[in-house]
Formats: sequence, structure tokens, C-alpha cells
Amino acid sequence: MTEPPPESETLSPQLAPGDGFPVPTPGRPVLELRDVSRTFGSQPPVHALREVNLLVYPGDWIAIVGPSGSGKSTLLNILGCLDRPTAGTYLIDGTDVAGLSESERTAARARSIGFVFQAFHLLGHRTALENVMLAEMYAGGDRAGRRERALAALERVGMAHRRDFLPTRLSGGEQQRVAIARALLGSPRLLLCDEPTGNLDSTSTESLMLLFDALARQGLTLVVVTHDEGVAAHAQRVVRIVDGRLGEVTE
Amino acid sequence: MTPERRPEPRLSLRDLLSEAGAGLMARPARVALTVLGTVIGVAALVATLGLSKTAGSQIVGRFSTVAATDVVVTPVPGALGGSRAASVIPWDAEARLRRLNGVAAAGTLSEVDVRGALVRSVPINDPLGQTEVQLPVRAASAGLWAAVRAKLTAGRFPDRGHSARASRTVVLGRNAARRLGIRSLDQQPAIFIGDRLYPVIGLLGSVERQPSLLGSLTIPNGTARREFGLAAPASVQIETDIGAVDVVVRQAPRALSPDAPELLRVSAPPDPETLRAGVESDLNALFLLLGAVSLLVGALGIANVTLVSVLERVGEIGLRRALGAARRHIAAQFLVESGVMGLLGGIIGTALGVLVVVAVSAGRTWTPVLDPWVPLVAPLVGGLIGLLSGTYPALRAAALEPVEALRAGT
Repeated sequence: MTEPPPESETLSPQLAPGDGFPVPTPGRPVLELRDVSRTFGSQPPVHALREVNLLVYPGDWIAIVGPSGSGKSTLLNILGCLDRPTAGTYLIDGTDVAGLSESERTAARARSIGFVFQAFHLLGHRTALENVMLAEMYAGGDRAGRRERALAALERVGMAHRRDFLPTRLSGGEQQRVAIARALLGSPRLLLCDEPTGNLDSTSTESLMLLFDALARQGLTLVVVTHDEGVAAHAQRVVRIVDGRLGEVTE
Repeated sequence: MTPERRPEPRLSLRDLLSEAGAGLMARPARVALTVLGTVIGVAALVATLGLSKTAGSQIVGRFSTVAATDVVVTPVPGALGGSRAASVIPWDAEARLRRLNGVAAAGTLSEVDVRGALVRSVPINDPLGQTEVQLPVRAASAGLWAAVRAKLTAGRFPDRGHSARASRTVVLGRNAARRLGIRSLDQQPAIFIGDRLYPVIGLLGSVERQPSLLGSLTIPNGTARREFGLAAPASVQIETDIGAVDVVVRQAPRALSPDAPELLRVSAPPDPETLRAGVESDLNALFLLLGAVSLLVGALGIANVTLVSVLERVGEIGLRRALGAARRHIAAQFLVESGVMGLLGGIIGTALGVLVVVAVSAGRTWTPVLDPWVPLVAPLVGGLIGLLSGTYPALRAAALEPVEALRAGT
């Protein structure tokens, strides 16, 4: 077993060795975008991102805001190694992702990045616990103890009492918490959230923000794409994206 | 990043199987219906193979004694020069063979080269009708008639004396007699072979071996030697006692040609196993086709359902890719799902097929017979069909881009 258990004490990136990337020195960015552009080859070409520069440091809690069609999702996909920039370089812990093969990028996804989606993407026929355990399946983690680690992750988001529930019997907020527990399971370097509150009511949204704040205090790096200004208000940094160009709003 | 620590996405076999199992368990009714086609196909195959084997075993019990006692000896063609080969079978073949245990009857049979001579019957002299015909002429020893189980409708067979005297007598086969317009021996008919007159002494009604005798004229050996210069008998027909085929097959060449038995070829009846296989293949063809068609339908069903399942689970595929599943993991999962469906259908179908064999056998008081490999291989056939039909959907699933999959699926 190479992964430390996902407990809060070991969550800080500096203390999570053996996940395929060099342990970053303090102060070194977790993510670095240098003049990243992404153009879609339609007629006429769509410039979803234009020469974007972004530095994300360990423990950052960043909100990326912007109107629809501004390139938020494209940026998120590139950050999550789900898509590749057409120009510029993208470094995770100093490693150029463009230089990795597809399977290496897949592995990087499995080990370094936890995803939270607007639509939750929980498997409907599996219990909350099984959904969380899914996260370790492709990361090569030890099968033994997976259940315990998943339970610990559920506990961290306050969902341990719902572990045997099917997603259909959970509220939207509860489903999103299960999805966050799943994203936390591999002790990721970074939690990438795509409109995590898009399907939630205001009460659930508020309680989810408290969870994000708590996770950030524990040292987790959070990048949240949202167009909810209330969500952005919780973030330490807000980055606004308009027409594919990025501008820092607050520090 | 150090090269030796490059992480590769992994998925343990156990996880793969449990994920595929969970994927199937989520939709049990659909899986059951999908598997039905394979069940029917495999059941049809197993039942066909089993029933034909069972029926074949019954048929062997009633195996015809005619076929089981039929031995024919001929010279190996072209083994030596023409003259030598022609003399391998001696004229006294019949007498030599009768001394062997297990020989019930034996006689020589040869084609006679009449050098194009035409045959006509005597009384008819009709200038318009076709009175001269070309008919094959054969020479037989006296014992042949018993060896082919010939039956006469009129007259008698020539005996050894006819051959010794080289008397011009002929036995007409049924069909040859019809062509010559001879229906009975009441008027003591005779025929011309070329320009020589041969009285007809027998009309052949039926034979159980060498059916070509029915269409030919048969003269005694001695006659053929003197009139047409027959050099040596061309073949020997033997009827053995029941069960004596093996002995006769071994001994006949040595009795006929002690100095060079290898120059003789013995054709014996097919052994019961071969015969059974022949019976089975006739019986099987239709039902095997039926089974193959149901298997094809079953495969299409699995392919269809797996494809629908892939399209339904686009979101799940995107999620798994985001969680770090490589394309091959996605493909493997859907392949295992379709393979398991096929295997399941194969197992159930095999069980049903065996039940059908046993039930039918019980109904007809037969002994059910089944090759042991059938119930072992049949489920694998089902699994293979599942894998094959899952290939295309699995490749479709693996080809999905995670970004689009996540966006499309909910």
C-alpha cells in the first residue's frame, strides 16, 4: 500500500508521497498554466481559452467564475487532464502534462485529482459506500482496507450514517456530499468541482460551502467552477473568465 | 517525474469482475431476456448432438448384416506393370478363399473388354427400332452369385462346368434384359455379343451387392478367357460370416497372393463408429442449423442490449474515465458483462439441452448417450458468443471521450 489513509492530518499535499509526482517543495505551485489556449476546430474555430495563465498553490481555495460560454468548463477539463491545450504548457507539480501519454494522464487523474460534478454522477444501483469505493478501483490502491478508507471519507463529509443508502434515496445535497467523499478517497492533490451547487437548493448549497471551508482549512487544494457569486464569496481567490481570458479578481 | 515511477492505471481482476457483476445485477430482468436467445441456441445444439448420438447408438444395434459382411479385394492399381498387376488375383481365387474360416461365399468379378461389340437379341429384327445396344459385359465365377446374394427371376446360374467348358451362356441383369426386350426364358431366348450367339440361361432379379450386375451381361470366367482373352480376374467379392470381417481382411490377400499380398487392396465395411458418424451427420444438419441460427439471434440480442447499455451508461463511463479508468478498463468491463451473459446463457442452455436428451430418451426407452465434451464445451461456446457480440459495444464505450461522456450523461 502506497497511499496514506485519507485522514485530515495526511491530506496536505506535502505529506502525500508516492502518488507518481514529486513531492512539491513548499511555495511551489501545484498547478501552473502558462499561456494555455484551447481552440476547437469547428468552422469558424472557437477560441475557448486564450493564453490563460494561472498558478494554484497548495491549500488554495479558488473559485473560477464567469458567464455561460466563457470557457469555464474547458478550463476545468484541461485542469482535470480530461482535455489537452492546443497551445501553452500545463504543469502539475512541475510535470508537463502535455508530455504524458494518454494512459499516464489517466493515471495522473486517478491519483492526483478528485472530481465533483454538477450532476453528481453517482451510480444509481450502488450504495453510497460502494460509490465512494469506486474511486480507488482504478488508482491501484490496496483492496484490503478500501472499505474502511471509504467509510472514513464518508465520515469526513458527514455522510457515514447514510452509507448503505442508494443515491435515489438521498437528497441532492447528500448525493453531492457522497460524490465529494468519492473525490476525496484517493488523497488527491486537488479537488476539481464543476458547478457543484448547480443542482442544489440554497440550504444544501450553504451547508456544502461550510464543508468546502472545512476541507480547505485541512489543507486541501480546491478549484471550483461556478457562476454562483455566493459560492465564490467563500473562496480565498476568485478568478473571472470572460471570452476565454482570465482575470484575477481577489487574492 | 522519474521514468521508473511512471504510474499506469490499474484495475484488478477481482474489481473488474465485481464491477461487471454489479452492472449486470442492476438490470436482472433485461439480462434474463437477453440471455434467452443464447439459452435457446445452446440448448438446441446440445439437444441435437445428444439426440443424434443417442439415436445413432440405436441404429448401430440394427446395423445391416449385408453391409457388415461385405469384403471386396482388388489389385492395387498401378503398383507394378500392367501385366503383373493383372495376374495378382488367380483364377482359382474362389477355391482358395473358401478354405478360409469366416468366408461364407466368394467369387471373382471382372469387366470384360468386348472391343466395342454390340449386343442384340435374336428374334427381333425391326429395322426402325434400336435393336443393337452397347451393354457392359462381366465375367463371374460360379461362387459370385452367392457372394452378392443374387436372386433369379427365371432360369439358373451357370456352374463350374460352364466355366470349365467355356460354354457360351449368359445371365442377364434385370435392366439389361429390359433393354434387350427379354422378359422371360419361356422361349429360350439367346443374344448376340458381336457375332457370337449366347443362350440366356438366367434372368437376374435382384442383388444385394454389386448392383451394376443388374445392368450388365454376365458370362462365366472360362468363356471370357477363351472368347475375349480376359487375362485375370479384376476383383473378388467375399461374403464373410458375421463378425469375421477382420479375420478375412487380414487373411484374404495372403490366400490370394502369398508372394505379394501387398499388391492387393481390401475394402471392408466401414466400422460401426464411422457408420454412426454418417448417420449422425445426416440427422444433425437441420438441427445444428437451427441451433446456429438461434445462437446468431442470441448474439445479436447481446450485442444490441450491450450497445443500448453503453449508450445508457455514458455518464457512468465518463465518471469512470474521470476516476482514472483507462480505455481498456472500460472496454474490459463491457466485454466481461457481455461474456458473462453469454456464459450464463450457455450454462442454462446446456442444462436444458441435457434435460431434453434425457426426457426424449426416457420417452422412447432409449439409453441417453452424450459425448462428455458437449456439456463442457457448450457453455464456453455461449461465453465466446457473448464476448464476440460485446466487442463492438465495448469498443464504442472505450472510444467515448470523458468530457463529452460526462456532459451527455446524467
